[in-house]
Amino acid sequence: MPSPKTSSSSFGRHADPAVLMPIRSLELRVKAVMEGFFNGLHRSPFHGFSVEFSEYRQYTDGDDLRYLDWKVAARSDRYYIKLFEDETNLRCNLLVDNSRSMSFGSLDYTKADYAKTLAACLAWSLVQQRDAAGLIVFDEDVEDIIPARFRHGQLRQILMALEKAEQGASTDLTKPLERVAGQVRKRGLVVLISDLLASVDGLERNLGYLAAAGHELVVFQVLDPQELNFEFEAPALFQDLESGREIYVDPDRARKQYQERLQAHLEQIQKTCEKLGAIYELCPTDRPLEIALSEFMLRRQRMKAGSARIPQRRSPAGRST
Amino acid sequence: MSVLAPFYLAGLAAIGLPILFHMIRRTPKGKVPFSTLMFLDASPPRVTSRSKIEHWLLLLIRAAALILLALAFSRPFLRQSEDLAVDSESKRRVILVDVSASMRRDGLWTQANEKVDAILKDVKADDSVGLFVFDQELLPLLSFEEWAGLQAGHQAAVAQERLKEVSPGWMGTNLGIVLPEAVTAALNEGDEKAATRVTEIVVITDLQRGSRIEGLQTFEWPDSVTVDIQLVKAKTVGNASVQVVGSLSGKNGLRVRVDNVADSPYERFKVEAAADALNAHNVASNSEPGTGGGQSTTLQNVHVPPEQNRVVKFKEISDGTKPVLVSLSGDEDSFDNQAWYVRPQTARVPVLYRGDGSSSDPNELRYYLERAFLPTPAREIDFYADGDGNAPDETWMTGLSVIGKKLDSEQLRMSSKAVEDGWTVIVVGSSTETCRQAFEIAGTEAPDISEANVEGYAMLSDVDLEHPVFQPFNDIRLADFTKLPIWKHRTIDGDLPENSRVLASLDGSRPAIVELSHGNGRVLLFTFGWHNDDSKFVLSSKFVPLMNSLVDDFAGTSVEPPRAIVGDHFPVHTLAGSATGEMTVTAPSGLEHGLEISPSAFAVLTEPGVYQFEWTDRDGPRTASIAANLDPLESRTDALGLDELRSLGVPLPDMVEARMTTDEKRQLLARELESRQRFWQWVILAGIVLLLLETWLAGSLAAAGATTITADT
Repeated sequence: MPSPKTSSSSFGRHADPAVLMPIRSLELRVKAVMEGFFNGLHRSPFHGFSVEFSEYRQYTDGDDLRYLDWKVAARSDRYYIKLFEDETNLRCNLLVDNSRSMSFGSLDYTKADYAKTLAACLAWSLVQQRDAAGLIVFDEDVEDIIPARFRHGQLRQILMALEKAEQGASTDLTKPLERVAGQVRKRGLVVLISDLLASVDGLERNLGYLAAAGHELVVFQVLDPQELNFEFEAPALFQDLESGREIYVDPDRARKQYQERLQAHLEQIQKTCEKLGAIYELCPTDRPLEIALSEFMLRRQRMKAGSARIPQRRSPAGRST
Repeated sequence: MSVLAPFYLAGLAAIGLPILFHMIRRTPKGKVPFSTLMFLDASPPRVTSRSKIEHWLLLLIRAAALILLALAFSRPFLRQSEDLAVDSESKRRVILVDVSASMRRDGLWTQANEKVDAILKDVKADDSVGLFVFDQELLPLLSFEEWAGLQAGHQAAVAQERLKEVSPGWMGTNLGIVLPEAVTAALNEGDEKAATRVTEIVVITDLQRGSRIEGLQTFEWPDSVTVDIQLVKAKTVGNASVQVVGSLSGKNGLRVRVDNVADSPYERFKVEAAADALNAHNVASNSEPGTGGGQSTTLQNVHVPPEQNRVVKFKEISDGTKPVLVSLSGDEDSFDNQAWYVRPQTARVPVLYRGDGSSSDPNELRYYLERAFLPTPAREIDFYADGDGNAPDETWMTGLSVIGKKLDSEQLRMSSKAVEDGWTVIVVGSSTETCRQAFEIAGTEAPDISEANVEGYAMLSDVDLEHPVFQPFNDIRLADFTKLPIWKHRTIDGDLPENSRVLASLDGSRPAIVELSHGNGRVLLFTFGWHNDDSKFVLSSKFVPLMNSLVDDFAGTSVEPPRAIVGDHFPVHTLAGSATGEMTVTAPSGLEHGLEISPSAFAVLTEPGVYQFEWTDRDGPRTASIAANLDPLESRTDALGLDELRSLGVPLPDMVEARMTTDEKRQLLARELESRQRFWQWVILAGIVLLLLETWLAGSLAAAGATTITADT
């Protein structure tokens, strides 16, 4: 469980979101993040996404002889089959929550700003890698949808859709996830960027559909530091941004209970993600985007390394030609 | 300052609430939008007490608004002692006792006496009381001054004694006149407190339907006056009455109407007409029909359903010249069961025409004049013409003369003498000479008279419609003289003598009809001819009415003999005409009294029956009879509802109010006073202004506070 406590001062070389977010143009914001990101990384963040050798496994009966590595066979007189990461370009769908709860922000910017920037950064890097990127903006229904393609102007279209997206209503993950499950036939990457401040009951089922369809799932949960820590001081009438409901809350009394319930909620989401093999990333909005991205990369690489072994586990042991 | 609902003042305790809320309140009051409340529960409000008041002005405004609200609900009013006078304070009582004819019914007068006694017992020592009786007039029995002048213990006794001296009469009831008079009498009392004192008018009456209450409609009742109607109820139910409608034309018959009231249980009645009623003077006795002093009687049965009337015809009553007594039987109340009728005495009026022409020549004035006079039941015309030679010589002296030609000196002298003796001479001024002779007959010197130069034609104008001769035309529909063209007439150039009066002019300037008084008689001069050459007067619609009016005015006769209602003030000169001297009036009861004949002399008819008048005029002793009958409205004995009086604005005390205690009355008066003053409206208005001020001030303070809250969060 990542610690929710963050501090922008500890991020040093990264772009501070407080400085970044006032930049009005989403494209400029993305460039500011991603250029720094690439400079630091010195290699593609999406290494291994395209047609790429992964590892060998022993030949078994019935394997396609086209994938037999004849050179190895000639050298070692053993038959190995070459395994590849993927055989096609990556298709990534970015699901961005634009519900009213995303408009909360105790800093100078809202969670929605942060989420859109994050989505734009991902789209940018995908396009840079010549992968197909798509976008679905949703609240309780799907507001905007750009099918995942790789073509000229796709990034611009995504950036514009993110920029023009107006504040929606309440959060409901069911419809957008069903939509993705229904529309996206080919397996690919589904990135869900949301505060996930809604009941998690349906989350497992809906994400489960996608996982069952062979999609790789990534969940970015964007939360404001105040949502994580509940550091309000004065008692006040708290108004739910989505339902409009108002209750009188004394933060001093309510803080402990709030944090306990939030923690339970986050753990439940995390468990669901682990169960489904999804990458879960908690993104406090005061955390530099590069960190969020790089952590995501590392976790994905680790997960890919894990998933690459899955066929080995499936292969009959000691089978060779 | 008093309040109507003092318990609302308990609301003043509410001013503690703003102070409490001000000192103890939730802190802070800001609103924080948050992404989700799914992890939050409502915290119990945290109250903090403060030891000092932060917004003094706001607190004061809120407290003042609450005070005003409580004050408005408690309905404040200014108490004025005179406005809240109730029974415990002295008042002025006017006791009115009905003595109209309908009070003659069985038991009513006794009840009235008992009620007066009961009221007098209730009178307080400092009350001022006036005792009056009324029918169609108000008659004081004991004035306020007398009451005040009497010794305290004897006042009621004197009033009772005075009341015992009177009894119901025969007159009708007129509450429309009597009640306002009673109010005036009460308010004009010389007492200094009169203006502010509560006046109670107690009316003891049977309040029958014919009480003439319509007159109350326009009366403005003073605020301090209340009217208490104390009803007396008759033991009998239903009443029928009889009235003489008139004679049957050309016969000695009579038309009689029988009226039945709405609540009458009787429908079948007997009506009897008896001639020579003068022999049965006892009007108050209820003589049985068919026993009319042995006189000839006629009896008829008649069926009259309730609230209807029937007219009964008596075709032949034996002696047509004598007064007739009509009696009704079949109901219980007998006071209105008799009616009298006096047949008109037919007078013979000689009319002498001094002029030329035959009675069959339509080109002559005589032709029209002879046919102009129509006989009436009151008079018949004996027409004489100069040329016929049938006129008795004394006609010069005893009739109405119409002069249509130039007279010789002897005829002038005789005419002048006749006028001096009281006769009337009409001069048709078809020439300047006849016009001059009119002045000579009137004993004055004739002014210059010349033939007028008329362009086209002239018309009568400025007709004196108030003059008895022109009375038939005194109606806007009949006063049109424009269809009477006069194309030749004479002009009186000089000044008219003092004894003259212009009754009509020609085109507004020249006299057309001049009345010249001389001695006891008069000369009427027409300055235009009536026929052919001068005008179309004889052919106009004005001719016949004017001629008959002249005769009736001359002879003192009218179409119907005068019939009177009991209570009328009968002008005796309508009987005596121009006669002077003493007149003896004999009432139906046989009581005689004398009267000096003058236009202002009236005989007051106080009882039903036949009044006889005797006097002497130029013809010697004359007698006339007048039938005075009961007011027909007095026979409508079904009771009038108090609601009808209330609808006319009579300030009757409410029945509920009558049962109220003194405290309840005081409360009621306070309520009335408060509803008149309506201070609560102004207090509410002030409260609203304060609340608006409070809203504005609180808004300003909240806006200032919101900034602080935002900063906190």
